[in-house]
Amino acid sequence: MSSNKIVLTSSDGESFEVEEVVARKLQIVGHMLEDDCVINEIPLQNVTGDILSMVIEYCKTHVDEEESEEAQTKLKTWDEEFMKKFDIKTLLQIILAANYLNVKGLLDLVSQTIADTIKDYTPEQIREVFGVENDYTEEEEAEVRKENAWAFDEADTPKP
Amino acid sequence: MTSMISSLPRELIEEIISRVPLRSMKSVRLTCKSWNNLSKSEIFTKMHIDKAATREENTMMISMMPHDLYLMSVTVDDVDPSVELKGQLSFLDNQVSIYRVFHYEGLLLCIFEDPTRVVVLNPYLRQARWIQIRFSHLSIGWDSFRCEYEIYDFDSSLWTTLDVTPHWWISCSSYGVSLKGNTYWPAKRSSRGLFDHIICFDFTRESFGPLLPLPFGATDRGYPYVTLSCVKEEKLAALFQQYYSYCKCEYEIDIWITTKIEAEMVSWSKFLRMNTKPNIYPIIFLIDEEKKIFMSLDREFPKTFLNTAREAKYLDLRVSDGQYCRPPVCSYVPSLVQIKKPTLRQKDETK
Repeated sequence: MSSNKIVLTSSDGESFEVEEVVARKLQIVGHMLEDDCVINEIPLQNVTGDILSMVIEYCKTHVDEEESEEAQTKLKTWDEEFMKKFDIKTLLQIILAANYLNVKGLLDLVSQTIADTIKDYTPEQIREVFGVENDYTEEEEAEVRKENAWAFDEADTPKP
Repeated sequence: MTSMISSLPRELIEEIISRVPLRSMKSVRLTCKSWNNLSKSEIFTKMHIDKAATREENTMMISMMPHDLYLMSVTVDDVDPSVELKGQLSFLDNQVSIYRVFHYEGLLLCIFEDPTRVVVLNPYLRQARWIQIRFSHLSIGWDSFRCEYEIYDFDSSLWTTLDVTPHWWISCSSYGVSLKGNTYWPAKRSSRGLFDHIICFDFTRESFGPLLPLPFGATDRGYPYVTLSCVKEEKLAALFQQYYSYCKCEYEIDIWITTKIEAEMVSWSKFLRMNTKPNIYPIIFLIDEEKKIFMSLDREFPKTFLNTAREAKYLDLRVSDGQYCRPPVCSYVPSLVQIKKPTLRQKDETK
């Protein structure tokens, strides 16, 4: 394994020295390295240091993705614990960073975590937690409620 | 303000919401207008159904009892398998007798005993579109059988006859199976011999692909009957079965699953081969590849045959006194796929 080190610098000037294999988990870095293999310092304009450090933590843990079931289960548990550390605001920043840095696994993980939060909420709770403005009039809202009706009767037994 | 989800680019919001299970989509749609619009877009509905297989939702099945549609929830599981009646499809006219039902990505195509029209439904969205059938093209004679293919365009509301001269043979009783925008049927090179190929109709290119081989490991054994099914809207499965025969009390079934499937190439891997006492009604079968479970209806309804990694057993599909779930049935995945409405002008023309 290459022990070549690469320095990643965040928008607010924080620098992280990581192994090349870890840095390559950020596909944006991977592409830069393919274009020119002598870079050893990479500025990342759209991500702050605190968020970048979390992305790097994820990449370090996922650096060798083993096929074995045991390793997979272990990673899954780590992912769950990792996600528990963050509030919604941070999760939204991480997903933006994962998208910009092109870290597919992290993007999937954060999307799923946010979706799992949404699924148990009422529309009112979703608006409050995610800062979404309700732009429906009462009539429009009633219309959507009606429109979405499931065409199967929720009957226990079939009608005669 | 990055705490606002609205500040995310649209593709990230889609990425998140497409992972929300369908039962929670109502809340999502009620959150705001832009999320409601997003959930109706073609790109989104496609993403949502593509992720259905990864969400842990119940397997659904549509059955007819005898002419109405019922929604069943199936738990294909080796510990506690069950089938539960969820409800009756209530918005079709009670007078219509459904003859067959097909499923693709949340849409149902119902064919009636009245052969002049069909309906396409999205039961989840309560949308329906009736389609008149041009029937003059099918002619069956004692010594000739002519077959033409027609395709219906939802935008123009028009049927077009496809310019194809089939060099293959599709059995009239075969159920086509739709997967990733294509429909597949068991096929053979001539009216004689065994079904040893499948053929694909590609709806994007509006043409048939080449004959694709069924697995040689199965065709080699000379099974006279083959049925296709979908595995999690991702793969195709082929079930081979010995013909029903009174002098034998055991039947051999052989199931293969695709490892790769495209309009022009296919590869297969073996799922299971077994001898069974029950004679399976091979119109529908459900497979859980990971759990190694195979489920199908028995010819003696309402029994359902279930083969798990450990044992073979039966489930009773009786849903109430005298009411049985009976074939034909089809698997079903509720979706947000919108059915295009005919334009007003076209509505007038069909009157």
